[in-house]
Amino acid sequence: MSAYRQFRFALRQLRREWRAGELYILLLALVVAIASHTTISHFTTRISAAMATNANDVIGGDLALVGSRPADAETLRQAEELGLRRARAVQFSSVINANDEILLVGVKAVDDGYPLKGSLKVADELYAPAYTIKSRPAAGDAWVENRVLSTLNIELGDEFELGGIRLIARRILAFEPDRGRNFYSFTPRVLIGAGDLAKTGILQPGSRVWYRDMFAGAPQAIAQYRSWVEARLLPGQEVRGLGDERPEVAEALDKGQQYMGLASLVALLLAAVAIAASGRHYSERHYNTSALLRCMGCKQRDIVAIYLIQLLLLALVGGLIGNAVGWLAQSGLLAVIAELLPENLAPAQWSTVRSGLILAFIVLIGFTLPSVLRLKSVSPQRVLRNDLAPLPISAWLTFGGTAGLVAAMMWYYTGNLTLTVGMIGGTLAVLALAAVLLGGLFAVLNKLLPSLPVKIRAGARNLVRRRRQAAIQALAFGLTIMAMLVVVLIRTELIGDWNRAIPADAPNHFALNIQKKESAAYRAYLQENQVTSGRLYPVVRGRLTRLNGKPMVEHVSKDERHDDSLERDLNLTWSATLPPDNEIVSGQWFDGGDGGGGEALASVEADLAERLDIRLGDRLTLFTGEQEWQARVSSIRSVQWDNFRPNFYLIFNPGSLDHLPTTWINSFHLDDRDKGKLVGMVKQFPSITLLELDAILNQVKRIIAQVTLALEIILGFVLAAGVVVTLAALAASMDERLREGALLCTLGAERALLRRSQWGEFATLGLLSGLFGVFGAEIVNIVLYHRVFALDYAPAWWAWLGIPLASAALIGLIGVLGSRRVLRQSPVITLRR
Amino acid sequence: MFRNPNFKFMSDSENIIETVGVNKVVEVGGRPLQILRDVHLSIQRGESAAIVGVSGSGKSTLLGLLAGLDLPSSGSIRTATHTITSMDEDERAEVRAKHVGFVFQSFQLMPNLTALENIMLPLEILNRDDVDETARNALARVGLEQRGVHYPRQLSGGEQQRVAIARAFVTEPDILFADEPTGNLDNKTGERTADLLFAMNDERHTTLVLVTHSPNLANRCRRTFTMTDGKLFEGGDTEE
Repeated sequence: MSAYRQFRFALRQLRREWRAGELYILLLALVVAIASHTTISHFTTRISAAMATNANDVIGGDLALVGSRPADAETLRQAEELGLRRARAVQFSSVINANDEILLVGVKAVDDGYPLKGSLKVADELYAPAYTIKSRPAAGDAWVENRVLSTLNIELGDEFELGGIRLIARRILAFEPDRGRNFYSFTPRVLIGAGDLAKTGILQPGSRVWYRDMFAGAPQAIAQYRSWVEARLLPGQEVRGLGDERPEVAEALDKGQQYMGLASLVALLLAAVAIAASGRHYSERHYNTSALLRCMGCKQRDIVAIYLIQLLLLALVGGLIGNAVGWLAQSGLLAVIAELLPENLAPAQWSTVRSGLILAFIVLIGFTLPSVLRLKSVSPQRVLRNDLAPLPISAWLTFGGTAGLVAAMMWYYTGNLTLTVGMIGGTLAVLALAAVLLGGLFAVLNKLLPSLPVKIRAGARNLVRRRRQAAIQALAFGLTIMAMLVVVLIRTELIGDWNRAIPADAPNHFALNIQKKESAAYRAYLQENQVTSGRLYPVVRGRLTRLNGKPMVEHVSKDERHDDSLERDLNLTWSATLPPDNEIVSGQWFDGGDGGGGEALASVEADLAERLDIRLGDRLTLFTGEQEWQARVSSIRSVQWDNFRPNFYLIFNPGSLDHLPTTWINSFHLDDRDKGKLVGMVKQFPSITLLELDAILNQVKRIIAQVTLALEIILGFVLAAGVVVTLAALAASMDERLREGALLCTLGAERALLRRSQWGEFATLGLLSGLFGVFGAEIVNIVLYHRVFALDYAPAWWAWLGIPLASAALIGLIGVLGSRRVLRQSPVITLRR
Repeated sequence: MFRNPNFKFMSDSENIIETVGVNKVVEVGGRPLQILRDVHLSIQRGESAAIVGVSGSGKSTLLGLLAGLDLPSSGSIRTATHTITSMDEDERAEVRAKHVGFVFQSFQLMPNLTALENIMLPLEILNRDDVDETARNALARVGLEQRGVHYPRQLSGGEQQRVAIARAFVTEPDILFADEPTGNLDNKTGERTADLLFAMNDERHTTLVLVTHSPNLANRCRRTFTMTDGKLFEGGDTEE
């Protein structure tokens, strides 16, 4: 046949098969496979890009170059060349005064670009609701934190002095997006325009100034810029992204994205399973057709060409329909939950459409063509006698090759080798377990058959007789269950982890400067007003100056000389007990060790210890006011910074700070409706400084809520895809079941017997698949929990019992319902087919 | 496998099928099993020949070899003037397409094609122009013009075999191979199907080679061969 004739013939045959209903299952499996892959891909790329971009709101840009010197002209020019937007904030400490009162404040001078991402929030009255504002302080104006007004005893519209100029306190500054981790800084903020900075005359050579150059732009350009800048950093400069400034947000986002990667991977796996299960059925049914065509004079290469053309056409159609369904599903989904999502969703990507199409071709042709190629080496006469030669080595190689391609796609689209290896490891584990278990089971079952009770013998015999098909189905279901279980377990753990980190009643207020004499009354006030609060921590201010007698600047490396912790007073505390969310990394907490014997002991936060090279037993020298004092390092401790409780770099043993000036700090939770209690608190304790963290807390909560929502939706999709794959695999074996059922009916089997036999067969299949699924999921999770999601792995014992039983019930039910036709249809009709 | 491409056939007369010293050995459970032993056979154009014998005697194997569906272990076969034993599978397929038609015991209609489409199939493989009309005529010839749109499962056994006969004759082959063509039918239907087969064979002067258990069917052929333990004898015991 010429190529044109082959094409025409293939097309005609395809049309006839479609009309005869022969292609529905295969096409359905393909469409579901491609639709779930593209839906999840579209959804994740669009959402995750938006979430990543929006998360950068919390640092005021996509990237910040911070340090004691501003970005130089070359650095700014490079940013411009890459099309990045930029803004600069200059921060320094200074004193302001009004009404003969003076106050140490943190001044921040910003240009018009600030903030590149996120927004400032201001209020026009003390404790009034804050609103978003687009403009910056005008020349001569300042926006100040409310404690500036209360301390200086001024009102909005009044003037105060900063260096050489007088500024008007125009608005109350409620929220800066890039305030970050230092949200309970002790010095209140004064925000001014960059134009007023020079006029203050404060900045002189040698002044302690903190420059923050921020950049925003396309992710690729930002990545490129980051590596360019990092290569030419000067001492005292640092590049900071989301992960450096807000690790908790970056981590939630990262885990969310890994999860989405996992979900797309699972969708790919399900797609492969669906096609492998129904594609095999498709090609096996065509053995007879091919044999007949060859009897009629079709050449081998014609047969191969005809099937190849048909498969290519099917893949194209399935790929296109799957893509269309996927696109519609994700748009519908996004439309339904639009209110809960970031506004700036990325458009759907062509690369997803392309990957959907490629996947359609790979899985369909990869999993069906090897069977078709078998016909080439078998004589038509043997084909007619259904006497097929076993699958030759080359076909197994092709299957292996296809599996390899699917694995490569998994890696390519998730960009995560660990994730891919974990998933493939689980798949291989399921295959290995299935091979061992099924081989043994069938052998034992075969031996036991004669002695089995009559009631279950028929079901058991069905399983043994159809062992190859049963094995393939158990594998398909097992892999499906594995995929779904992995997605469910990891989602549950992740969300649980986030909820533990930021519970609904996480503290949203900080009370600073509680005086010693007020602390008892303050506690009583909280109790009377039923406010949920954490403990009160004493706070002593102190600067770290020497380590083992050597000045810190000489001890640390050049890069760390400008470390923030060396340039400012640290908040120090003492405590008899280890605060929650702190963990001893080395050494011993005060109650477990020598207790100091009157000596001051220090527990140092692990990151700080690493940066400044502080070790157990080192002697720290600190300065508080005019006093110099010392302490010995007795433990190193990790701290969870994102828990919205007071956290400390240095904690000392009780009694060791008694000789130093101390105030108290506390955090508590207030619902919006209880905000009125704040007014009473401020009246009763005028010296206390109150910080409201709702805005910052909500920033994080919003991001986590979005990530969680995305997770839930994707989970729903994976589950739906899994159910459809199961149905497709069952439908593939229906022909044979119908025929056997009819035969048994003809032999006089009662329907009750048939039904029991079906239940027995499907439930056993479900039980085995459930077992395989749990086993595979555990293997996958051992790898993924720790290495990808930073979760603690614990075997899901409930799943070992629950999943096989549930799967036995569910697959039993689906199977029996799906096979109702076997019982309903007249045996005569079935046998004549 | 031994095949001698230079082998000379006995005569170039009107023999449309000719075999010389055909042997077929297959391996069963690792041991050689000889199915055909030194088979010599010649059938002239337009003749009808029945091959009879007990089950497992090698009848169907021989039929498959004559049709070029498989190759002998040794010996030569000439079918429709082509020495098919020296051809590769694709060349033999071409011989089948142009010269050979088949009728099988189990009908072998394609379940996903209608009766008419089943008949159209061999014409399409040959790329004939008048596929539709020719197929319709063939369907009418077997008396099923009303059943063209029906699928095989909607037809009775006899009707299915009539469609198969129409399909076998539609390309006007030189030789028709029939493997137990009435084996799956009751006596009466079998009889009518055989009538149709022989009638069409006479109309078209086709050479008919059929394998059968049925003495009646064998008796209607001009020649009868008996297969016993892989050996072929002319004439023989049609009372089996």
